[in-house]
Amino acid sequence: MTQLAVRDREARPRRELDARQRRKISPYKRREALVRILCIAPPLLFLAALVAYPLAQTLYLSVMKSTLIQPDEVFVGFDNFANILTSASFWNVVSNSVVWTVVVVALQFVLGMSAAVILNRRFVGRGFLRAAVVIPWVMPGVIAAVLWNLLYEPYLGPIAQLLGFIGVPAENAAWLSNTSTALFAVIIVAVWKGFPLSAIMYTAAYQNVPEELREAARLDGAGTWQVFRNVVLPSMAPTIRSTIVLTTVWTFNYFDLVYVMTNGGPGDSTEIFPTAIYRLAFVDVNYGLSSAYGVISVLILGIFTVLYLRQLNKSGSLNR
Amino acid sequence: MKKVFLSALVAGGMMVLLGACSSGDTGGGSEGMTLEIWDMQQSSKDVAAAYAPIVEAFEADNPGAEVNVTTFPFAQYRDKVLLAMKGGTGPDVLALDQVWMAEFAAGGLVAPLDDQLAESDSISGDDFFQGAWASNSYEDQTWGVPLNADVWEQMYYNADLFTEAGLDPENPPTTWDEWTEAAAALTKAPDQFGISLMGCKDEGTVVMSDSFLFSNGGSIVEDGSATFDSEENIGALSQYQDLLEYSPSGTAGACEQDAVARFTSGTAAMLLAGSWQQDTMKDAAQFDWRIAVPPAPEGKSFVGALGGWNLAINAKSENPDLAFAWIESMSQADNQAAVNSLIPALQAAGEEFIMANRSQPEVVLATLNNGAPRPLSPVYPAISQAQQDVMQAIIGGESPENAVVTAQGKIADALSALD
Amino acid sequence: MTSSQLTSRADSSARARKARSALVSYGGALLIAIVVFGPLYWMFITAIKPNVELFTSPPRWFPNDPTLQNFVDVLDPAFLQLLGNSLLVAGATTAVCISLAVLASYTISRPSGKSGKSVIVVVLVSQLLPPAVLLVPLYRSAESLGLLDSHAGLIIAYLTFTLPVAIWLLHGFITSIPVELEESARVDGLSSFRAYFTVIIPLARPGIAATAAYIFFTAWQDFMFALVFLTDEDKRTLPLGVLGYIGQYTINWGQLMAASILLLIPILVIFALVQKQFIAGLTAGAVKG
Repeated sequence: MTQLAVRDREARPRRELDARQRRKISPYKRREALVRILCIAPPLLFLAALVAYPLAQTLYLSVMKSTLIQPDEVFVGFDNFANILTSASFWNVVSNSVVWTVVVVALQFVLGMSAAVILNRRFVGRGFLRAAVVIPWVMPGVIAAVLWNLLYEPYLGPIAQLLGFIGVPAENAAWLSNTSTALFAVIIVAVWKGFPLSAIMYTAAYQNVPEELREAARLDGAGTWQVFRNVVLPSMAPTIRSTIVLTTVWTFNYFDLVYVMTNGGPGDSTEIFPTAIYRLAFVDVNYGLSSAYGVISVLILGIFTVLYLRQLNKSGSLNR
Repeated sequence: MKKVFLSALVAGGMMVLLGACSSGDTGGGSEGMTLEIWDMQQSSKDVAAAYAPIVEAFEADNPGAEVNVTTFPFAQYRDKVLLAMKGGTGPDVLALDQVWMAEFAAGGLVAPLDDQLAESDSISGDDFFQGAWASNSYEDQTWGVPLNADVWEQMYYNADLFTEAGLDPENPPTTWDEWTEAAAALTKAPDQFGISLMGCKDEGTVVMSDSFLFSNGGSIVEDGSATFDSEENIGALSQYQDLLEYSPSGTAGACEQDAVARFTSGTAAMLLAGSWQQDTMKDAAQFDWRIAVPPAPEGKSFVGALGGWNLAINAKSENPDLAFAWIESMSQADNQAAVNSLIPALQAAGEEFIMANRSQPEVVLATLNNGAPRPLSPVYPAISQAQQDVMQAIIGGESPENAVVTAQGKIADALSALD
Repeated sequence: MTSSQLTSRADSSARARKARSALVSYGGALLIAIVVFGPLYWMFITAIKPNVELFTSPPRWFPNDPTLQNFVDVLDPAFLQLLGNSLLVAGATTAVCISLAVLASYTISRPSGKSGKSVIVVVLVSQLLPPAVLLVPLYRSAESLGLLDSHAGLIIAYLTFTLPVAIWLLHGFITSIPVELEESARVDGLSSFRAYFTVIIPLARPGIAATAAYIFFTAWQDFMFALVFLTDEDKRTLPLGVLGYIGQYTINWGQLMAASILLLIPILVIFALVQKQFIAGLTAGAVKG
């Protein structure tokens, strides 16, 4: 901490330039600025069309009544929101979504970090395993869902059979069809499918941890776990931060697995925001209601990310 | 070096942009006689190849016309259709599920065909299976022409297991009481069950449950009002709940192919599934499998629920006459037979198909002719959701009396949106 | 104790440590392998099972009559075209996106960059909308921009969604590289631009490779955007094609699994080549200075 402060103070005098030096470097700086703008401009333009416009459209539709059979949009104020917030199913969707997101992200972190640590050790076949570990992630969600449906089959699938060997009867192995276990069954699949991204990110970040810091800690007598906790993890903090926020947002909005495996069932024990919204938009074709639901979803996610970033800001780890 | 690289990148980006702007084509904006046809592919047929000769023949008969047939996987079909039609770049002719017809008609997305049908020499309602033709009508107009049709469902049963259990495979159960007794006799938990039921949250479960409701004299919607809360429906759902006892667990998550797999593996002795599963049976079932008309309540006869696909014309099509000509061509017997892996809706072609491809064709034909349609309502998706919830509740142990009341409320709500 | 006794004791405890370390490494590797390959094994045997053996009670862990017929059936010219389209789209997206992201990171990720926070905001906002709500306006935007039914349009759409994330991921990697390295290069007389690109970027190679992997794989497995932007069968990417084996009432399991396996192989090959860059990041020399 103090070292950085000292460095900043030393750097400051360098930035106070006299007029002649300023004139000398300004054409270069202008080119630099131009480069920066060119780097960002095209994607920003398309961001406007492909992100800002849908957002605006969603906000607009959320206060309208618009369905397939009554396509002319009628302003209804907050009716859609009232409709959703007072429906019995809404709070179930919220709780399912929260459980879904928190558990998946937590398990992906643990599994991804463990894999990263292992994959940075030396062993025969490491290169192959590093390449192979991405496979679950690269598989399209629908295929993974269909595959795991096969695996979970209580009479004809391998998981039930293995459970049978340890004494679990088939009736108890029908996880996907049981309202109390279905969500967790899909969570397992989501963790399996998504942990490779975390593994790759943490593998790369792990390699940038300065060896000297680790050596120093070890010489000070720290055990492996302490070295990990106090040296490695903090060095990886920016990557961990990015990955967790992103995986949280992506998991919250992840649609494919739940939709294909359970379609929100049994009952509505696996109904999460993306499936509820899809149903409203493409089955009921109620654009007003689905947009309102979408706005609520964005708000929840938005609040989470703001709080998370603010918390990190406070702990000082946002700016290095 | 870096500057060169940078400017090359920017130039490349510009070219991509320009290329996109010039090559991008808004679907129906071409002049001349181009027909865009969209259909859905079933997994067991190379539909695209089947269309090729039909396209050739049509283009020969209609010089200057260019026909483009695109097929989509079933799972994405409705999404793609909705996106395109709402966006205004849909095809000229598209296949639509029977239960989508009222929805698309009410939404103004497809055009009524009455005038063209009146002038047409080749298409007549009587040539098609009754239920299939009727599924195209909404508010006294006709909005499509049937492409294929089928009915839920047949009862498949394992004759070997019947004999083992002391039942006569020549005389499968015909009444609901006999059915429950047979299922009980065939159940030797945990390895063998009497019947494999489907119950997952999708349309397949709804249609299967409809056959229970219809057979017992119940209904869902009549004259625009919800009629779900009735003694007949309660009785039908009770029968389903009784059968659940003799069905493998996990029914709440078992969709049609799961239920079929449990039958073909010998885990369950009876199965309710459509006649289209016969191909799978021939492939996968290594026992004496037979089909029968499913049992009906004492004194009543089995009524199945109809399904299938129709051809409709996009209301925004620029070539409606050519589109109709295409539909006429598709309504000829040999073309219907060529592209369908479900039963062709044209009676002549349909019967030939059944005779050639289905075992026990008389059974198949009998159930097809004795079927009733699902509610033809623009809010059918909401009605279907309510029914899916009912089935999930029933499987979860809810009493039929309570379940139908909840469903009645939801269906009435949905219908009130039409006022 | 004699010195030889002391050394031999040190040797044996060193050997014990090495053995334990190897146990952890290989044990962990085995667990990872089981987790990844377990379900894939089932995918594989489903692809080589004849239809009669697909669903048996109890399930068969290896078919009695394995057949490669499904792979043969799946590998038709249409499949190869799907594969080519996927490679084209994912590859182009990755190349352009990584270049733009690396360039942009110069603006954003350097210690003096003030725009870091606003980038994060833009990134997150772009990811917040749930897919179903996004589809209809996305389709309309694509339509009015003339991007429908073209690979270029699809690439641009992927760029739009992967670029903010790529920038942010790179931001994370680059900010974990010590600032002193760039400072020392500047002291040596390099301009900040050159200091950045000749010193920092090579050190960030593992991070760049990881980000490139994220971009490629996200584009490879996507089918939502492909569904919205493409109609023409000749232009379709692999995921759309593979889903054709799932019908309304039946699933063609054998061919579906075979096609899915074939879909995964190019990934393994490409990634095996790319991950050497990860190893390159282990150049301890540059970091120690």
